[in-house]
Amino acid sequence: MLPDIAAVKGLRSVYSDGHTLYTINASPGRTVYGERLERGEGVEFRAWNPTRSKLAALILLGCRDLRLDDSTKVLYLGAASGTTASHVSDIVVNGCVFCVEVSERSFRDLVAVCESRKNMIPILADANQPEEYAHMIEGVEFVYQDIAQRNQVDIFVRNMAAFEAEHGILMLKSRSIDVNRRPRDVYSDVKRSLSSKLLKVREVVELDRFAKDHAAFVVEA
Amino acid sequence: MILTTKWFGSFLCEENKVKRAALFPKDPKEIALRLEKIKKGEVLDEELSLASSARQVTDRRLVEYGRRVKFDSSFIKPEDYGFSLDLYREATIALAKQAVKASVGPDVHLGQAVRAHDDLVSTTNLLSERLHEWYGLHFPELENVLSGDAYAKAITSHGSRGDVLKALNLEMDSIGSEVQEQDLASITTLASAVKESLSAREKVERYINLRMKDVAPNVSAIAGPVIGARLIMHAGSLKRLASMPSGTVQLLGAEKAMFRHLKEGSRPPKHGILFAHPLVHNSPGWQRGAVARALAAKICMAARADAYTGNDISGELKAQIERRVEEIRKQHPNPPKRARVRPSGRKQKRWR
Repeated sequence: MLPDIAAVKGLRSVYSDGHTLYTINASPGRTVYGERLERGEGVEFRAWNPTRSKLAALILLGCRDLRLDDSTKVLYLGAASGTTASHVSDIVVNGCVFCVEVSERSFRDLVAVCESRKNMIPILADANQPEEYAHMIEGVEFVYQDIAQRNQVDIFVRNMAAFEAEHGILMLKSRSIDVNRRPRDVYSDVKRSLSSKLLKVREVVELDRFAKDHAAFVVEA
Repeated sequence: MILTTKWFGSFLCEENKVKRAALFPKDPKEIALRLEKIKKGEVLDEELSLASSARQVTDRRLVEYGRRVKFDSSFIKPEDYGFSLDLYREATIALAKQAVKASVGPDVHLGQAVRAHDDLVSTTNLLSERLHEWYGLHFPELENVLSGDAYAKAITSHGSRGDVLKALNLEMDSIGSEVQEQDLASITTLASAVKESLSAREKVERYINLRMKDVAPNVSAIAGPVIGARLIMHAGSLKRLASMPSGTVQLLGAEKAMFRHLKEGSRPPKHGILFAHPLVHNSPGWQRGAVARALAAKICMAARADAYTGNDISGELKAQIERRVEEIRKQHPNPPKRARVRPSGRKQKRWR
């Protein structure tokens, strides 16, 4: 039986059956991290787990204005094993996801994911040094970053500037910036420092329900 | 003119127009090769062919051919030159596979060996506990006579109580019950598994010892090969261990306790991985902090010698640490007086 899956209002290429989110599987028949697959009319849906992927959490918590459409070119910093990155690649089917990751161990898994998808490009590099991988990147419009480092805000700002991206999402882990401070205080500081770098923070969403002490910053250049 | 290189070729540009182009071959392997070269900081043949007429460059690698400038090259589109995204994807995946292959150095193996060693220690303990329990039904007194490796060996090679006693030239009364042949067969199976994992542990330990002498002889001498390897693994690499302050080294492996201290004001940890070092855990509790601190300081110096100079300074360091431990023992022979415990049940907010 076909499940009752419909597009999420205000978002193209993200679907929901009322409680679970789905994206259309760009490499049918394959799963990336053991997620559930559902047959739909002529397409295959891939369940999107919000506890594994902060972007799914952000959408479930009501953020609709992502500025990701089917041809966006995304720079994904901190792609790890490609869990979230694979869903981003589902969303931007005709676009492209440049996945940057430093850890060789995660990169091994990431390469396997990239091989089965037409629009994912693996780059083994340190997001701290955009100039090191700049020649490998082409016309990026969107920066998505999920890096648990103390200088994660600085990394984000520099990458936004280096590739002249128009939009971005920063998944912030407040405990990486300072374990001792209250996450809310960290968030407001981050918001201020993003604004001081001429980035407009459109939305700040606390992700505590799915990822403790994390917040998403939806940003426009 | 500005010289810039993209993933599909090198270009000479003027006023946002391409004057001359030197394209890469339309082959993923060839592109991967060039990307690899760029990563290593080498100059490509395509770039050399254009370099003579360049005034400015966009990449650090090319500074000898012109002044480095910021330049937006997004108007040079791969489609215009017949390069597709698919081609590029193939090239990057080829490059990525090479990078993954090249990423495994000796320290990665060392890290896995340390983990395997830890796993072997815990499984050996688990299995041998079970063996003692099971064989103890039949012959509980044996563990007073033999221990560890010898215990398991005696059971695998002799089996029943009578045979073991005969082989050991012993005579004693046992309160253990009799067992049937098939029970004994199962027990010896378990015993041989214990024996096997004990010898595997020894072999892995020998391997770690050997490897550490190669990779980090000084650290190995001061901290011991297994602890040394564990420190390196925890730090990420020898270079990173060498660049850590000794206070960090002292607490490697005690991160949870450290952050609990910072967050909730519990007492700070005195040692992490270093606790396993005999100098630390054989010291009485009140001296351990000081000993761990001294040891961490020496390990840091050892790591720096291993990572950079390669000199053997282990003898000196060993003498220094022994002297320092002696000093600590003399300075604090007796436990300090206990701080008065607060009568109220409320949790202390901050450790002082």
